[in-house]
Amino acid sequence: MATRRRNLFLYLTIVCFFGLVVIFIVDGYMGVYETIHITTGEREQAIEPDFWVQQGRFFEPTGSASVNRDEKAFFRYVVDNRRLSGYSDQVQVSVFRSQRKIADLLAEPVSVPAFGKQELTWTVDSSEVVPADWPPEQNFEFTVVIRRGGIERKIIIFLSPRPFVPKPPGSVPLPLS
Amino acid sequence: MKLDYILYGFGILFCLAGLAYLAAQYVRFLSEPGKLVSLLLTVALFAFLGKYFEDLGW
Repeated sequence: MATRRRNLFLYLTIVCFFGLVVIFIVDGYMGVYETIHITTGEREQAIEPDFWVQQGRFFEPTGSASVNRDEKAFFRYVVDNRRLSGYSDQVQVSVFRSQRKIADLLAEPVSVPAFGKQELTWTVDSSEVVPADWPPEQNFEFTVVIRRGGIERKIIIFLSPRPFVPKPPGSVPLPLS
Repeated sequence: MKLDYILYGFGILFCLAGLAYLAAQYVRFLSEPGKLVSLLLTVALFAFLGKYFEDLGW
């Protein structure tokens, strides 16, 4: 009787262990995930899928990157399908400024096989986004909005201002005495 | 008999190491209900393991 009771505890332990493993695999691993790589200047940063979950607890999650004026930001968007079935959807990328759309950068379908990945790339040329009459010494920000199905990701791009160099004072004529 | 206990010990260690690895890699992707159920299962796992060793006379 004691042995049966003891074995029951062991079996229940094993059931809990496999339950944990199943939850981690089904809930934690499987699904459709996305990683956004942004290269500006000489640096590449990656926005991992958990970024949106962690940030979303407190406020609307927004990624950010900075780029020098008149330079380009290179985006690489990786859709990782960790499901038993294929995944297909439409990806749209647009540039917004003050809630107003400035340009559409990309509108492409993605079709990812089961446990496969697909990459999309695009470039944002800051010189095409900034208005021509915008003072170079002033900051400028715009938002790259990535839409995939019902999911929307926002990345704010900050444009560094050009350093203001004052003109040297011209020669002042000396008063004649 | 001693060898059995050593093997049990190794088995338990490997199981815990596997769980720790899964937790480190994928806990951030778990949904809130998934996290709650995982926590409850972890508590139950250690409770049952404790009862098992208690019955063994440890």
